[in-house]
Amino acid sequence: MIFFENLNHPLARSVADACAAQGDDIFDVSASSGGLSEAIAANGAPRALVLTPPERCEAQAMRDAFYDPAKALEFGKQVHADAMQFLINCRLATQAMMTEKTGHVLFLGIDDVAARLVGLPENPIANQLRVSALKSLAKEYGRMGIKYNAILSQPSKETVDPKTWRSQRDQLKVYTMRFSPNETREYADFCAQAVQGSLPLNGGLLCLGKGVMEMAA
Amino acid sequence: MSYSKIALITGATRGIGRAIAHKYADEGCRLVVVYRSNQQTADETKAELEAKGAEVLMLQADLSDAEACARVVAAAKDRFGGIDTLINNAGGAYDGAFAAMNPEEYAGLIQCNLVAPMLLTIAAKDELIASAKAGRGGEVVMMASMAGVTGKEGQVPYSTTKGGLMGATRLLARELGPEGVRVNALAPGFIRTEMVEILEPKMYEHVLSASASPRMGEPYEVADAAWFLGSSNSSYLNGVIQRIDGGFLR
Repeated sequence: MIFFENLNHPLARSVADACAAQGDDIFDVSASSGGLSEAIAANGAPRALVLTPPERCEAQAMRDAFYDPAKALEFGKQVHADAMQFLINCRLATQAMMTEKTGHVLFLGIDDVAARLVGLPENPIANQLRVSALKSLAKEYGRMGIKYNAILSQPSKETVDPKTWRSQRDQLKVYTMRFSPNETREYADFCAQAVQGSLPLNGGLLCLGKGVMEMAA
Repeated sequence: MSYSKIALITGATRGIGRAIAHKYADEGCRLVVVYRSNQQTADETKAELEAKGAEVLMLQADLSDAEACARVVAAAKDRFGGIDTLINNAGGAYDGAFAAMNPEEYAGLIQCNLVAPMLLTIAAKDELIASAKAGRGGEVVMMASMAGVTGKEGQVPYSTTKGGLMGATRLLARELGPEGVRVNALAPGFIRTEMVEILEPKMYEHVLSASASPRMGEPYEVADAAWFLGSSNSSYLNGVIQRIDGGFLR
């Protein structure tokens, strides 16, 4: 069974559909009141856990924090809570997968630079803390048969209005490789392969998309 | 009379932070030195820096508290009139097998290594912008880690916090760059500090054998890089995560 942290995330939804089309059972952790702990207790260790970024915009939260100390405090609490929950989920998944000596934890995020260019939520803190943690986890638990990877994709074509795409292409027209959107399905088909563990990759970061340079480490 | 920059340095009473305070004192800066708890090392550091002729304001504060961040910035402004350079050096480590860790044990690490530097930078924003507009400074240096860049077994929560700090560095650079403030980070590798003194000799050999420069880094070498990022020498660098690791390959 493949667990998805949050199927409200548009790319995760499409990846889940692609995996289901290939016969995988899908479980939406966000729909379970007991979260990942309960999902594992009920279903056993997942073959893969697909993690997604928090539903917020760190850039906007930072701007708000600059002008309101209460919002700064709130932003700090959000960042702390997000990091804690991410680590708790990684620990639960790792403990369950260790007993099976196999498994895959994969983070699906949106490239924060590309997101900024088209006005979508920009979350470099959440993205990078996940990428760094998964690299460490791969070094620590890869020998036990568990894979940990991250994929950052540029926003897919359907998530941004056509005018924004056109204006971005105009602004980038001096570059050989223009900001060129892929459809969600194209990303999802690739990510589904990664979820299923068929890529020779552990501790890796893949950047998907055309036209915006990779900024993540 | 030439202007003496005002540098606020956190975690500056030992290790890399203390070396940075010495470097900034050597460069003629006025210093706001923030320490968390050890009064004895704070007194020693103050005496060392004043012996070099630096004006020093020592402040005890727990920067995981947003109100404490505001108090530190206000104290710096009261004493010296502003802040030109902010060095967010303070941080901690918590190592071990991740699957066996209790999440409560790394909650404090997230606050100290990730949230506190963000809150202090946000609190100091107005002073940094004023400094940038006056042509005096407006630099922020974050202390990330190679554990955040490449990942490190046994350091999952630590690398998570340092990765988050790298993301915060890029975000702050984008948000404050138009105001003239530059935000960069250093990612030190194997540096001779108390943090690594506890390692066994075979671990030293293991790490050093995987470096292009097979030796440990010295705190003063990180301090030199912190001076570069915290001065006009790096005036066209913004949002950079600068490795300082002797060419670490592992």
